Amino acid sequence: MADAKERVRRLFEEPWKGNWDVLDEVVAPDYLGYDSGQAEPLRGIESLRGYLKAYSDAFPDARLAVHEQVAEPGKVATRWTARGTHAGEISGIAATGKEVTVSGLTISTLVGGKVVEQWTTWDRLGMLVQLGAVPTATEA
Amino acid sequence: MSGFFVESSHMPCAECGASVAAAEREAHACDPQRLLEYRLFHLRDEVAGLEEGLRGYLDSPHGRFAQWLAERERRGGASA
Repeated sequence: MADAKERVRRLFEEPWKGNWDVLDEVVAPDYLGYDSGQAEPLRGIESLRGYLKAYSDAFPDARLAVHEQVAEPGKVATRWTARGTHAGEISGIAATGKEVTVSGLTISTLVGGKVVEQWTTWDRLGMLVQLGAVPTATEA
Repeated sequence: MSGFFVESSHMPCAECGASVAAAEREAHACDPQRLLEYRLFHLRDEVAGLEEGLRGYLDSPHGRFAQWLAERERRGGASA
């Protein structure tokens, strides 16, 4: 299970360091990625790559840190935090120059050492608040 | 007045844009480099507009004359 945790950790952290090859290494071709903020799941490696690239383009200095992982055979749960400066458009919000910090939880399913499915819920509303797209109590 | 407002565990500093945890808000001190970069980021359109405006001026008859005059003065032509 230590190997599964390490594989998932690399999948989370490496793309933000510019190592996009890790996706081909760790993710199964028939990958399915469910995200509480997405109407449709991500299907396949390229879909996941495109999703991550959109955020990487908007937050070029972003780094993702894995804080905690819990595993059982075939599954890894990961608590993570991402931090980066908003330097490009994302979700229709023009660059603000603000640095944001968001956290999330992901449950990854692995088959044959490859990630075949992930369920993620992360603080998208917190990101919108930090970018000023949603008013806070102090701004009311 | 009632309304729905949300809080976040982190918020960007209004001065420098750095992400600051709620618990560290009072102790936060802006990094001078970050402060400068944040201010320049917000002036980027103005800076780009200034450069475009300067290029436009230099291409105009007045601008071309000003360049010719400046070049003449640089070569000492004005005193000749």
